[in-house]
Amino acid sequence: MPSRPATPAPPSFEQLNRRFRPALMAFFLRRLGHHAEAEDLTQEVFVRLASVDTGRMDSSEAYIFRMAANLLRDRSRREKVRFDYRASAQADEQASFDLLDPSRVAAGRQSLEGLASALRELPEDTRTMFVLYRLEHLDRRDIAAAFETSPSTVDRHLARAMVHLARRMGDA
Amino acid sequence: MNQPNDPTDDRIDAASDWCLQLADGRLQGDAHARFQAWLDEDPRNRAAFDTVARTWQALDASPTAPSLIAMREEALSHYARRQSRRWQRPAGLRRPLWAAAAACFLLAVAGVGLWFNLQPEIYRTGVGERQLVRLDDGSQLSLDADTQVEVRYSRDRRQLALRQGRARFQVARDPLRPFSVTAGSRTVVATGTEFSVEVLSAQVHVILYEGSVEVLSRDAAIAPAPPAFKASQSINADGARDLRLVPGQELVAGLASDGARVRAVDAVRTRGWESGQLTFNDEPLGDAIERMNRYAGSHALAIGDAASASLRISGTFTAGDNEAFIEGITGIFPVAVREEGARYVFVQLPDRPTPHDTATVQ
Repeated sequence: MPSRPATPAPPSFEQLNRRFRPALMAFFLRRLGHHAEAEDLTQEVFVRLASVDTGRMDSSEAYIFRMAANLLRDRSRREKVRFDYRASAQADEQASFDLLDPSRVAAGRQSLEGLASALRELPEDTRTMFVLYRLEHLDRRDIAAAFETSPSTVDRHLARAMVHLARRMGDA
Repeated sequence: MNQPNDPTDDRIDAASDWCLQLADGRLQGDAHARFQAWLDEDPRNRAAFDTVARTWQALDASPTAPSLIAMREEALSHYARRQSRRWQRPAGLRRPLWAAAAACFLLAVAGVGLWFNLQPEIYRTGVGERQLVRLDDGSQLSLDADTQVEVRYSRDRRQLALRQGRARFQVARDPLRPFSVTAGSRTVVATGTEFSVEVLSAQVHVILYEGSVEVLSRDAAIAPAPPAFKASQSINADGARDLRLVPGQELVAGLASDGARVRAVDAVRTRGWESGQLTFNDEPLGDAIERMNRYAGSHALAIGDAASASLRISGTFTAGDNEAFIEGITGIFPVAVREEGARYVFVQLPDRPTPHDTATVQ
């Protein structure tokens, strides 16, 4: 049973999926517009992560999003052959304006305080389940077992927490 | 902005739902199409999803920030309390005992399951035999004759190895468990796609029919990424060795070496073997013979000298009909066939002048 928040064990594929898939999808959707392409490139990030030894993999946010930006750049280079030069040059430019943009990181720090206080506003059970799921990477079935409830009830708590936090972020 | 019944709220609700499904790896099958339809419905849906995904990611940015650490510790101790409460029920219910017994049983079952998982499942076809295999996850294999494939499925990977012969793979989509096929020095990584892999005269042939695959040199797939890979601006620092195919392309690489070339192929003809038709397109006679031999009965074919080995042939033959193959080749090329023990050996005819070095037989 985990007792301390620090968990340096190598992340499982599932964990990486949970942490990064939504944001990678959003990252590619912002730049591509086509769902299928965004899905393919997201998939490619995970394929590349899976082909690397998980024990020694760099699973930092920075690394993963740099990989995403590079895939996008490679893609725009490939497409350049077939498509309009200006569009791809623009994609190239956008690719470098990725999630590592320093202004975004600063904004992230500010919004972290906002997130923490938004989390505080949630009912205790909802907050606990959400933190266990999102930050401790526990399985929703394990959380359900501990709370002696069903996974779908846990899902409802998670969704409620997510909606509340996203609204707070959206307002900011 | 956030009044009740504001449609923005509904969008955030829906976006949160999609985000959680994506994060949990439960967005599969039809759900992809519904997600896409929802995104395309209204640009504001897209914006809502963006907001939710950013929020989700922001929590990852600094999980060790003091304000979050405090909440994580609270959540964990809350979890620990609830866990221990579950194990301290009144004795009358006898639940802990039952639970403990059940847990032991589960552990035993899991242990056996683990042991089974470590043993690859092996699928093998003999000479002249073809086989279709449906795997647990819905993926399908079509095995050519004289072929061996090993299948290892674990919780987060689907690893296959082609030891010999040829097989076509139709991969069931499962974003959480990448599907890879290793043959010689190459690993083909895919999700939800269709391709074939063949081991032929010390080369690996990969043909993509649908979707996309990444062909990695085996070292890259097993070893951690080299430092240059992490530091360099391009993720493709390794690009000389790792290749991405598009449908209708074939990659040919040495079993042990790094070199590889990619060419366009006729996708329909390259699948002919599944219906017993072997099509060759400007290929060395040796390769054609190796393929014909997967179906050879009592007499296998062989190459007798360098001159016949260097012939390049094109044409379509019926798998297993070596007589027609011999007739076709000897009718066009200045070669003859000698019977040596249980083999038919192709050798060059000494006296005839060479009309062409390549020709087509039908």
